[in-house]
Amino acid sequence: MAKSPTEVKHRVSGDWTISGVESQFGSLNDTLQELAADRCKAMQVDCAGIDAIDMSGLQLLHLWMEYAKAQGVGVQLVNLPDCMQQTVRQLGLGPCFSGNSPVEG
Amino acid sequence: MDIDVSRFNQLFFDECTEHLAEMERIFLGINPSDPDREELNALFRAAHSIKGGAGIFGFPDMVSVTHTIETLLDRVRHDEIALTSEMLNLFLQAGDVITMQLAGHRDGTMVDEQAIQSVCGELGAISANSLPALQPPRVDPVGRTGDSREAAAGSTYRIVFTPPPNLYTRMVRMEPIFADLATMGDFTLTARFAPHPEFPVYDPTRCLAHWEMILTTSCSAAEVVEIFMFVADEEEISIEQLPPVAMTAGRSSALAVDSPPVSHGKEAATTGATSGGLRGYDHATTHSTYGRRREEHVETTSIRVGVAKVDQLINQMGELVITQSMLAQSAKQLDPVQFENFHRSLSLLERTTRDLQESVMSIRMVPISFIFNRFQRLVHDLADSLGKRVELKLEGETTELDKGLIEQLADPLTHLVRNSLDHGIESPELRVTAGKPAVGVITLRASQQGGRIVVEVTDDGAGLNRERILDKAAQNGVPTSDSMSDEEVWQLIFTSGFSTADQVTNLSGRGVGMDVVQRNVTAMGGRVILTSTQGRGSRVFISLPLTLAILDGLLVRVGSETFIVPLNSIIESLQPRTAALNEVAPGQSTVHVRGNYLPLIRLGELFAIPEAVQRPEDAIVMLIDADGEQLALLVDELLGQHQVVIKSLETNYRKVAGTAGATILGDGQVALILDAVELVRLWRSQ
Repeated sequence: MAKSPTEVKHRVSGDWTISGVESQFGSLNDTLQELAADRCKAMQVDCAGIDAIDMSGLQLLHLWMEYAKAQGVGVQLVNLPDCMQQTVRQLGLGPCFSGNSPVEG
Repeated sequence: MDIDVSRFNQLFFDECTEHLAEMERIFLGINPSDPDREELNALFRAAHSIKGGAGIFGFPDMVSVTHTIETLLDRVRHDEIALTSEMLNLFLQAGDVITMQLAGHRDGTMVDEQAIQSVCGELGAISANSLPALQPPRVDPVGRTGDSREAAAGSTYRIVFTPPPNLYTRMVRMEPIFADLATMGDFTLTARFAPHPEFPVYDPTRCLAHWEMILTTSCSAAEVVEIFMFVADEEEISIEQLPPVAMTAGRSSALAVDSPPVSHGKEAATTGATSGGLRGYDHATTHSTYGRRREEHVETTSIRVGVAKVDQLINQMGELVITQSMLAQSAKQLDPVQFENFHRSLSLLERTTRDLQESVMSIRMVPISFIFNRFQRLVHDLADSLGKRVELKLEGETTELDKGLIEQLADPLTHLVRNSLDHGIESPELRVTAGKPAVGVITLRASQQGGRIVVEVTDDGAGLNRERILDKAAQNGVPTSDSMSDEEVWQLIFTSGFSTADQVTNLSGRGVGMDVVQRNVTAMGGRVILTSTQGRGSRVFISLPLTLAILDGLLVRVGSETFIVPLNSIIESLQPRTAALNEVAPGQSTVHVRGNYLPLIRLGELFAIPEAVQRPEDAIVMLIDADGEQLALLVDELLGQHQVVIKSLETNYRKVAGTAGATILGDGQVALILDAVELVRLWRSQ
């Protein structure tokens, strides 16, 4: 993760389905602690590396974002892969993930 | 964490097979010019159930084909397009395709992708000819469908699904469910999350989500709720009908995020809705299938048990009967007065064992409709391919017989029906010329007669041609004579390689059929009898034992050997007077009984038992019926009636002529079970 007092960039990748959410949770938890330690104000999360995601993974991501927001850190998801965008739509999670970018130039 | 749902696949396969059979039954019987509304709904529900289950269990190929059928059926039942015979034939083919896909997933068999594409393409073309081509439903970011149905005449429902925390770990996918709902009308979907604990103590496998939906549809609330049948219990779904004015309010709240979940379960409609407003499930109209539903009706008091387990139970029951018989045999030596209580207990044991045996045997008894129903499709397709018009009549479909026999009977029956279609029933033109109705009739009839099941295949076709059969037999080198009776001539067609067909068709004519039919039926302990009238039709009788497992028989002694004679073969027993006996030839005698001279079969000579009683006047003559032919058996002594467990000689030793198997008696000895017809055949051969 690139270090900056105001904004950081973070990459998430791998399996975000029920099979992999527990290991992803651990990684996100560590990131939150680093954010708090670095007193960041904003974080850009690059989702291009996500191989697969389901409702459990989206729930995890959403709750992580909400928690970070509660800590005063704004989170933006970028480079959402097609599979993720489709799953968001199909599960009615559009409002939860609005304001995020599918692709960032 | 991985959850293996594949162990539940067999449940889906079994249910899917039942749905496919039901769909085929309705497709074959429905009137395309005036289809019954309930039958159309039943077809839709069956297709919908298959699709839902396929989606849940991860068989997207089946989802795709079933979706095509379901969509067309939905349009038919909403009177958007008319049902045609062409469509029905395509539906039947589509059902075959799904069956093939099912077999592919279940058994690993090959799947013909070209056939699948072809059927789906033709179904799609039918749909496209009436309205814009069918496309898979789309759900945009706010959950609105891309192919909204005209809902002017429909109802608007607010649906809340609050799943249990283990939704994710159950590997349930909600996408197919919401996609289904989107096809039903104007659909909006919003997911919300319940208040959650601090992130560090959050359990990522626990479902905190619930979904709120607004659906405007012409479907009933029951049909909407049915969508969730595979994933939700009753208390997890709430549905209420909204009045038109409430619909707008419902939609505007759909975009709120993280508001507290709507309390589910028992909310009443806010404006005193009509009978369409419902709470929870409508038990009167929802249907029970596999999945998470509260079940109330008789169907759900059954459980599925593997055939192997039932067979094992029957085998163990048979051993129990033998052991009980041994106990009874040993107890005969005990004084009935001194050991009165013991004898009484043994009587009770015998009664209880018999009752238990009957109960266990009844588990394997299934109605013959199990195979009869397959022939509707067979006759329909074959008559179509042959350009003939044939009506299939089924009688006695509730007649029950052993499941093992049912399965073995399928092939012989299929061949007989194919023969009737191919060689028996004439073309409509020929039939009319012969003064017959253009539509031929094939009748499958089953009945219980005594201790046997009789299955008949009858047709009103051309019947057997005696001259052609005699010519063909002569060509095959089979000795014949013009003085042979019709019955003897008909028996010639059971010769291996015999066929009088002018042409070999795909169906028959290769001459490998009737002899195999007879062999298969004989192997089941049955026999085949054929009668025919030229120009009027043929009738084939298959006589089978009720069950392969037990038999009521009379123990008889011949010399030092004990035999069992099936009770249903015995007419009467008597001790003959000398005057009633006649020697017609050296070693051949008859016995005169009430005006009939019956051939006398000496079992002692037949089975080479030298110490058997020689003079009939000193022995017992049993009059037996061997499929309509009466004969007399000479035995030394009658020992008593017993119900015995049949053990296969072929399995344990080899086929023994004149017998139907063997059994173990109470004293541990093995007794051969005689077969009347086989006995006669053996006697005649000697």
